[in-house]
Amino acid sequence: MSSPAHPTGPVASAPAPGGDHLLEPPLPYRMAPRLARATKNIQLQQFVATATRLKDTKRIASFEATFGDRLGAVRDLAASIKQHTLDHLDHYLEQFIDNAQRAGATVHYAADAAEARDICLRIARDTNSTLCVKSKSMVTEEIRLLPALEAAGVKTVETDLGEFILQLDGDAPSHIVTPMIHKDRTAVARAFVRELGAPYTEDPAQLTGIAREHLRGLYRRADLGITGANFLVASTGSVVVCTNEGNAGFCISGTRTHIVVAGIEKLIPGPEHLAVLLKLLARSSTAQPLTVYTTLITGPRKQHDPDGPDQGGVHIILLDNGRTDLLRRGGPGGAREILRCIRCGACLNACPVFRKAGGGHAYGAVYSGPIGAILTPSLKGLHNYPDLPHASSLCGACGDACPVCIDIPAHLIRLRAEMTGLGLPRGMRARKAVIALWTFLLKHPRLYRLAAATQRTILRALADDGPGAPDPMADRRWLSALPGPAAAWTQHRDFPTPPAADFRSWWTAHERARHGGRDS
Amino acid sequence: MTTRADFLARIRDALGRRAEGTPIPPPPTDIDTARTVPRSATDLPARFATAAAAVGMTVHRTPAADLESCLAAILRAAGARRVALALTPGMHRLAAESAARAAGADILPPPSSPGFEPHYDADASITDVAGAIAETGSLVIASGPHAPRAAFLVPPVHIAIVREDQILPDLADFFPTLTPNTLPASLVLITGPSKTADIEGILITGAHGPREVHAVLTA
Amino acid sequence: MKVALLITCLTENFFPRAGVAAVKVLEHLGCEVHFPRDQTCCGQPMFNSGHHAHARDLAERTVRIFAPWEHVVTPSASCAAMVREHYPALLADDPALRAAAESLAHRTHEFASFLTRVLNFDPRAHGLRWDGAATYHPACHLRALAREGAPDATPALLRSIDGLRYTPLDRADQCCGFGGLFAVTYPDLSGAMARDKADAVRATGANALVCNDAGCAMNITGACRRAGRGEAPRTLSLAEILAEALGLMPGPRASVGDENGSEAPQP
Repeated sequence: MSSPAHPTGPVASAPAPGGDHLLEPPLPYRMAPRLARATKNIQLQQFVATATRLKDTKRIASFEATFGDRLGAVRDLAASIKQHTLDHLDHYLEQFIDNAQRAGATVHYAADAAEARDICLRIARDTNSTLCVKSKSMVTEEIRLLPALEAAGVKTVETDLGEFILQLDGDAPSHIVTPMIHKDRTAVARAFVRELGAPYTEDPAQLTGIAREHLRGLYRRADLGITGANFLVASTGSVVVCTNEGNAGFCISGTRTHIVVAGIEKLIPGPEHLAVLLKLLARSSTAQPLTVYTTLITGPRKQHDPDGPDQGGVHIILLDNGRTDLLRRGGPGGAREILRCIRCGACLNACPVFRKAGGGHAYGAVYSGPIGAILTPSLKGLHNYPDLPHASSLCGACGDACPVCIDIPAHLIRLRAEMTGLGLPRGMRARKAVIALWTFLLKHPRLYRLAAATQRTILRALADDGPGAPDPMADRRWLSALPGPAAAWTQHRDFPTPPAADFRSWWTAHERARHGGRDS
Repeated sequence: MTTRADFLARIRDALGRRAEGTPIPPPPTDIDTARTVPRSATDLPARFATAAAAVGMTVHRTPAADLESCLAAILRAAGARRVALALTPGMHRLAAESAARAAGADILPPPSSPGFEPHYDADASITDVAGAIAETGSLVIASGPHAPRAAFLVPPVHIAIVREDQILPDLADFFPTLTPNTLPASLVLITGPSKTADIEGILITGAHGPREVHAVLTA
Repeated sequence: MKVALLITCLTENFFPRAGVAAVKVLEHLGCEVHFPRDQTCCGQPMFNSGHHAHARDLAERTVRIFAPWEHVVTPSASCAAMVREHYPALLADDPALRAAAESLAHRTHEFASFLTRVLNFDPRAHGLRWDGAATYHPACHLRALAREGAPDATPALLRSIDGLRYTPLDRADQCCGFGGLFAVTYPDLSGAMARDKADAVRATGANALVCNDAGCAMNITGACRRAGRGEAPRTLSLAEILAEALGLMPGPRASVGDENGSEAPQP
């Protein structure tokens, strides 16, 4: 990767002011402290659970009502559209670049986050921009754009209501679609009083109105608008941006200069494919048929258009930043399919782990939830995020929710296997030895039975509760405290002992009674 | 600085491809797999009206002869004093101008320089549409000489005049028609009034864009 | 019909009664049940935690042990999923083993699925009776089996038992938090998920929880006991409910003159 000619923005691993530190913690990032805080915070748990459960339930109902049992075929089609594009990404990128340029946009190439930031700063400098309005974009968080702009003297305001509030509060988004599920109206009210000098109100409509008026004041003075892209359409050179609030419209069309930052995985072959992918995107996110505003931008304003960015005012920055490393791994089960992600957030809303961990920024990165658990280690290194692939019960809800059929559980398992091969994480060495011993026992049935009998004896001796039962096969005791690492189990629940009788003895007697002979 | 050639070379390398311009198989084409409104559906205005209402738009159906009075009534109910018009010259534009006068509202003069600014003074806008989608209840608005983007975004009330014959059944009927030669600089599908649910999941309309969107269906 | 029982390590060690019940029900339905004694574990904990060489070895021995049997039945959904979904790819390095794994995958069935799809078990033909209020937690691995066209047979079977008052569990599809090693490596997460599940179970008012996976059963019952200060519904597998409802094992059969008695065993 090329390195920038001069340093820009904050140094990579030191926590930066504002919400940045939440999504850019010191590396390697370990989840335990934030998980402990998040799971103990009852109010946070309630907010996140309510928000995500509702969206998940509505998503399922919406798809059932719209597609019924055709849903599988539609998801397969969406998956094949994205996969085909990724498998031929060079072709479609070339086509996109040619068409975008023909429409009058300027296309830039960013190998990494630093280069993308550089390009934005250069454009801001060249256009003498001092006030920038931006619409919610995960990729701009990924490249840490906002601190770089601010440091260069370009005041930059997040316009998506949730992101706007988070910015005022020095906080960070906890969900890729609905960023503020961890905050309530009183937090918003206090932030508005403190930062905007607004009167205190907890009424959501009034709070929204305060934000609307404040942001309009900024829109009218802004020189630069920055957005991400939901899709890049190769055959027309168009950029597709989807929002519900309409803030993107002001960022796209209300200033002289519009910068789009987009990961290369956003490509799709043609506008006809939007008919499939858009039908899945908003339903997967928020159970709507479409987001309120679905905008296709094809170059700057045309000669007689009354508004929109000037000729030369539309810049599209194509970003790699580790995506080609995933692209490289094609084939069945390979990481390339992770790039199909359309950032709908369905996996987050379906995930029982996210429901507990998400509100506390426990994933420690821009991309959270199940997709984050596989994307973040893939982009930033397994050694930097060793917990993410393991913080899952592999229930499979995410894979079932994904509109483009990314087999997230399979990738979690693959990453775990890769980590074992790399000797990660450090505490794993003891676990590896235990698993090796356990496997050895399982390959030697007599030793296994001896170990099982020993375990039964020890656990039953340690048990501190148990009613006893006439049927030895059902005579189970319970332990409320297990020793050593197993204590993690009994922190939260009791552990059963094996019953007094074992299966094989029963089977032997059963066989004798049935045949009078031995079994195989 | 990464050049186009560098950038693409890295991607080609990741894909294991050495030669440029290698022919590729066609992309999936069976878009109709995702169709929900049949291509042959005939009750498009009714389907559109239902879908549009479901996403929070107010739908009015009016014969062409009554268009002016319908528009005037909407403007009066909104208490509009200044109206922005974004309509190509023709019958709809004449009806909109008369409606504004009848409702006692001033019409914003055409902007003297490019930009959104004049629209911040408008209480309402009246626009036409480039199309409409029955499946989702969406309005399709294309930028053009008589179609500033600010018109459907800035004023708090947006009134769109839709001819019934502009309504397409499904997104699968709309998107394949777009070509690089015919696309405007901005093409927007509007599916309801601006909304947010960021604060505790409570739905609020009028976040940044209009809080009211009216679709006036006329023959 | 000859059937080999793949009892699974957790069921054998912690819920052997589920294995006994499975044998009794299958024999009652005319199967000749065999128990290959060399079986130990399907290797799922090793596979899930990324120790694939160990998982592969266990897969190989399991494939060999069960090679002679036309039908393999297991009372655990997660082990059925392991064999059916993952064994072929695990053994892909050896074409003969891979073929054997694919064969085993086709021949291996989760217990409830075997009853309904292979034995065409019709509950109404058997006079099933079981007195009690029961709810059901479906193991997450049933999702994988449903995706390949084998939807969960257990709720319908439970509803067909006379006297059984069935209350569906709220958000039954939510993972209970077991996840194998996850339960001890991420105790805060796992514990919170288990607590939610215990709350849902308590809310049904059921005195019995049906669960077809030993891991889930250990986790949920343990969480119910912790939340209920030692009190918990009785946890049992579908096989046990059916065995009791058929009068093959002691259980709360409601009919008068039932020689098998109606003493309900303890959790």
